[in-house]
Amino acid sequence: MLLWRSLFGIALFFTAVFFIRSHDALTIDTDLKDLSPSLSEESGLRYALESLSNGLEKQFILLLVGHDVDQITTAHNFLIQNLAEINNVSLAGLDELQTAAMLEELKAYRFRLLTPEQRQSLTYSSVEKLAVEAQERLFRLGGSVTVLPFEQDPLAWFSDFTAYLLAAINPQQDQIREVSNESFDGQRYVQALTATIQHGALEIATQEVLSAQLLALEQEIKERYSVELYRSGVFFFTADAAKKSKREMSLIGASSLLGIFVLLIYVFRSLLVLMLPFLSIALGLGFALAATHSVFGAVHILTIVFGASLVGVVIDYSLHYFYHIGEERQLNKNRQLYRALLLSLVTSLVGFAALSFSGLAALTKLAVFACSGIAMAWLSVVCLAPLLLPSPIFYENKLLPRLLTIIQKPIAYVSQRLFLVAAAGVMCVCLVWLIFGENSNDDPRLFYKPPASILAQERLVSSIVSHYEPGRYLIIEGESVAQVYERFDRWRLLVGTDTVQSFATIMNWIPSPQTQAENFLLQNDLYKKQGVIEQMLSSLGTSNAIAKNLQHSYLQVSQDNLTPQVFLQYLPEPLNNLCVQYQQREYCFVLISKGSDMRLIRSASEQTIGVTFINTVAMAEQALKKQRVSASKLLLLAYVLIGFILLLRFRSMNSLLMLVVPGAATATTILILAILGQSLNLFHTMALFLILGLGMDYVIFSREMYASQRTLQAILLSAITTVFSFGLLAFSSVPVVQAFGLTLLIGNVLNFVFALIFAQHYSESFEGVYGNR
Amino acid sequence: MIRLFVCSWLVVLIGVASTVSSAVAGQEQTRLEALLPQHCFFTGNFLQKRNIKSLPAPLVSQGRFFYSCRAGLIWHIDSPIMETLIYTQAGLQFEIRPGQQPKQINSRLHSYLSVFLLNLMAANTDYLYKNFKVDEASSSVELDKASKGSLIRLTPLSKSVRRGLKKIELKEEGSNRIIRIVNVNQESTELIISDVEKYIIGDNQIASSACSSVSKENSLLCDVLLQPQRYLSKN
Repeated sequence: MLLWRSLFGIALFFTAVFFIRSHDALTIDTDLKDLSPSLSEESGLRYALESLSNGLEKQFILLLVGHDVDQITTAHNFLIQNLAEINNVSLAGLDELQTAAMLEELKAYRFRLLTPEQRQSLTYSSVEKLAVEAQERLFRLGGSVTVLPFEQDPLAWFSDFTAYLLAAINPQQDQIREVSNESFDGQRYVQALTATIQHGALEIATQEVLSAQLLALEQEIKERYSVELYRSGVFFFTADAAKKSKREMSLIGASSLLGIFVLLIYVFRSLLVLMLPFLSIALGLGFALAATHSVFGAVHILTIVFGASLVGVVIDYSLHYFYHIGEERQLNKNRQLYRALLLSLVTSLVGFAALSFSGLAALTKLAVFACSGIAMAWLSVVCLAPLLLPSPIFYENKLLPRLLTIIQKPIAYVSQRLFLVAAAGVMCVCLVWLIFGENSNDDPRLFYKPPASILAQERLVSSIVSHYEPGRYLIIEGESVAQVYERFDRWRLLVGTDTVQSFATIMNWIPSPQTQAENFLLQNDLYKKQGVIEQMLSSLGTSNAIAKNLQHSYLQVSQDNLTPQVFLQYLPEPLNNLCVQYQQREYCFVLISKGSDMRLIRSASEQTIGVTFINTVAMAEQALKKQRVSASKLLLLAYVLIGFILLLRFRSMNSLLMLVVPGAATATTILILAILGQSLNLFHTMALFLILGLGMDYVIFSREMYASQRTLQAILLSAITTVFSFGLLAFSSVPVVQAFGLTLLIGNVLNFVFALIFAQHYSESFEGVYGNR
Repeated sequence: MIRLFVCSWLVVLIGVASTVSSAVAGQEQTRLEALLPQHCFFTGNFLQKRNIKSLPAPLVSQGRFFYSCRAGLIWHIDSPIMETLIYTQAGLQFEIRPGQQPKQINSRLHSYLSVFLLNLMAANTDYLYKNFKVDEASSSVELDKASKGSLIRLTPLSKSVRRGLKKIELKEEGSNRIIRIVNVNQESTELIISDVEKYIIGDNQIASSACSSVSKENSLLCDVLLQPQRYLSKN
């Protein structure tokens, strides 16, 4: 007991310190990415993918649509002004300061930067011809629009390069234009505005504030101007999911607590007695929150939704304590109760801990949350109950015993042998179904069902504004920037240079290190004595001071190449993450233009070393399938581990039969889900872990406490409270929560019925041990 | 009573202010319209003077142009170089050099210039007001030297355009129109438009001969303007 009290004291102190220090800095995370496993097991690729997706998560697009250009233009200006007033939002794209800084940086590398046309001229044209062309250009229309003064760039080649670069980076998506779309009736004018959320795009508090601000702005625009406003961005999906989860968390949590409170007050008729279960719930959830937040830096909204349902598990310890404590104290058999409680705790911990092997961030967090919550609730009961509670405790002995008798009546006809045979049959059928049936669906899009309006807006905006394939791109990796370029060139040869020209990638914008070195040498023809510039200036009748200065700058310039990192720092998100460095390796993305031949691109990437074709949906589906299969194997492992614990405790092979209760409940649940038309996904599989833990609780208490009538009443009460908490999740509008809840609802009812069948055997074996049986 | 008096004055002041501001804006628009051509077909001569600080004299070029509100613009330089730019109303741009086949241009600069010039020639004030801040300039050193006429200044609203172009000034000088383009490095180019001849809308015969008059040596220009699709690049 000293050990438990010390552990309880430490946990209590930790929880108190956590809440005192961070009560106003709790971060509730809503990242939908947590629902799907990492797309890649390779840490560098994972880092690159996360960098890009972090940038994308911060960005959203507002699209103005209307019949009148004036209305669109005015609404667009109004939108810009009002978005600028929102602290947490900045307009995406290069602003004047950023552009000036970028041009200043590029200026330092100008002797290494050439457009493909300029390279061609330098390679194939004579100095004389280039000098004549350069002079002719000065007389042409538009020749005066340059970035650098004539003295620094007399050929205006740097201006041409920056124009080429800026056109490639920003394909005019923010320009007003006329479009026709299947969503419209005829032609419409459209203008898009891209904005970036500075911080907290996935935090529930920020989402609430920003959603309200954007909604108010949207309404004002619709009232003032005759335009439609459409939205696109991950932010709107995560904000909706978080809002739904929060609403359900409040509803499910409150309904669950209310139901349990009414039930317990009816059974125990004392507020003092209720203190223990509710105190254990509060301390359990408080410690779980503190532990999860400390480990992960935030608590995921789904963890809290699932966590709310843990009430049904943590309350069980108090219930068994209430039903047995008076009796145990009288018979001096407290150790028996504590042993049953401990065994129940251990099996639950094994069940929940297995969730952490799923590879899903949300379930790993749930595993930490559940294990710490259950352990703390258990410690609260064991340590506080002797101090707080009277003995013996009164409990209702009319309705529950009567209900129990009604349930037991049909069960009495089922012998343990018959049950075991039937259970074996069901498990075989289930196994055959799992092996040969069409029983699963791992599509990640099933995890979250966005409202039709958000989805329709996303599709519309994407079809009009986005130039690139959503969720499909390439990652090219290498030990150096040069190797990345080399691999890209090899891949490009297979796909076709013209096709790749419009793809967004640093390799299309900035020349490779080797090309930059060649560009420098090629430009010698421009700056050398009697070179292009000297000849041109002399024919224009100016002093050759300008040519000398340029020669000097050319010879004195740094030999460093312009690297992707130096250039990308000036670009807005998510473009600034198009190349990342991770542990001395380079990873660069290639965003694929819409309408490209995906089969060709994919096949070329398979033939080129270091080039990976990423299809986020397909990869997530594949990863989820892998996780589901591995979770099924882990479930078997959990059965083996619990079997091992049972053998240690009871030292009899017969004790392994206890596993038949959750095993049969699991197999029957899978078949019922199949009859209901549900395809299995990872979250169904994860719920099966809890069926194992809960089923083991029931059968352990039946066996440890000799299946006395009061034990069975405690199990009945426990089953009802569990149904109150988990069962309500079956009515969730979030598909994964619904899958989890429905599986647990069916599985736990079966657990209870099968535990009662098993309990007959124990009560027959140990009949007469307790007087009240 | 005092409140009523103050309120009445405020109403009068607001009324006067809005009338004055709309009158000023109206004047500006009228002046802008006066500077722009109001015809569907016309030809003219141009003189381009590019001023670069470090060069001893301006770079002067000259030539002829033909504008059709239906087909587009031919901008033909005949001295000191020979080169023609064709900007079609369909949004295509071509470059033609002596002895060479027409070459389609895919450049942002020419795309922008073509939209600007075609709208300017069409006297599309809506376009100008949407893409530029339009105001009447108080003084412009370069132009004031030449003349004391009215001057309209167009400052681009688009950030991407402002990266290269600072402002465009429009001015009337006798029968000539002057377009002055100032870049971010304070270098300027003046286009002096003169000898504008207008043609009657619908008389294709006259329009056709006017088009051919731009360059007697090159009959290809009008063909490219009228049938640009025949000269599109293969890729």
